[in-house]
Amino acid sequence: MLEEHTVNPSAEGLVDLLDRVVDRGAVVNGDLIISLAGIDLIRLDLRLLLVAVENA
Amino acid sequence: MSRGLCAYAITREHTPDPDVRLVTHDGLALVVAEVDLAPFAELEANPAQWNEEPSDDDPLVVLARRHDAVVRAVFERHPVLPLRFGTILRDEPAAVRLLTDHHGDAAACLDRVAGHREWGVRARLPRPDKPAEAPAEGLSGTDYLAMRRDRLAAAARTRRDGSAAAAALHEALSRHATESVHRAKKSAVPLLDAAYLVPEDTEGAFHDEAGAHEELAVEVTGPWPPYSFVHLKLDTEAVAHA
Repeated sequence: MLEEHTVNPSAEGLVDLLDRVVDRGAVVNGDLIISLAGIDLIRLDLRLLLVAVENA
Repeated sequence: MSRGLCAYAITREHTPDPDVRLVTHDGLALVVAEVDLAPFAELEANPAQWNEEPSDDDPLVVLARRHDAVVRAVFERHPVLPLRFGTILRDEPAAVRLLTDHHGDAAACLDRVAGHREWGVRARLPRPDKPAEAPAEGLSGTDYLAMRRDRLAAAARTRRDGSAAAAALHEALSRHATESVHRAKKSAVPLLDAAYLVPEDTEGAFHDEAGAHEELAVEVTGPWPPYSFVHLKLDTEAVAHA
């Protein structure tokens, strides 16, 4: 049983995107970057959202 | 400060699309764009607003899609290391220094992911066809308890079989992938929730395998740039360059 989608408009597709874009990838730390406090908070909140959607 | 240099990805030096700018150093390139920082600074951390379902016009979703679009445009033709969303560099010298300081690590990581694409796989038990609810009336207390016990045992058996099937699926998929990562276990619902870094020439076999497990409901997403396979931490210290 296989479902496949390149572009998934569903909530879970969007969650997959946010999970990857916001929470993964190479991390740059230190004096080169302009740190935006809100983004770190979003990262934490996003994890809670992922749990909610996955259990829905 | 109202403007900054948003960094999207590290790639190999190439002639960029007209709408992207590359900062280059010794064969590597950082994909950047000068951006207004206000939309980033105004992001609100409040998933309750999303009502468990982020909407397409949520500011975070808009910015995240833009990030993904830039990364994907490069990914279509070149190996790419996505940077985490919201990486804002101070200025162009900072971008050059990032490439200079981490040239070796980044080049090695690019070699690792070149020729690969990421696929997400989630497997669950198929939804049961029929709610097998036999009427409980007319049963004696003992019979009722026996029936309940049988049902619970059957559910546990199904779950166990499902876990074994998911493990077999993972093992089979891994044979066609260079690397895999299990996503952090957030809930017990998916039996398998993993990402695979798959060489482009074995994608066919990978997908055949994903479709060959009738006992599971398998959902495949992708192709993704290798978001889940770039674990670089690019630390920079002012001291080292003072």
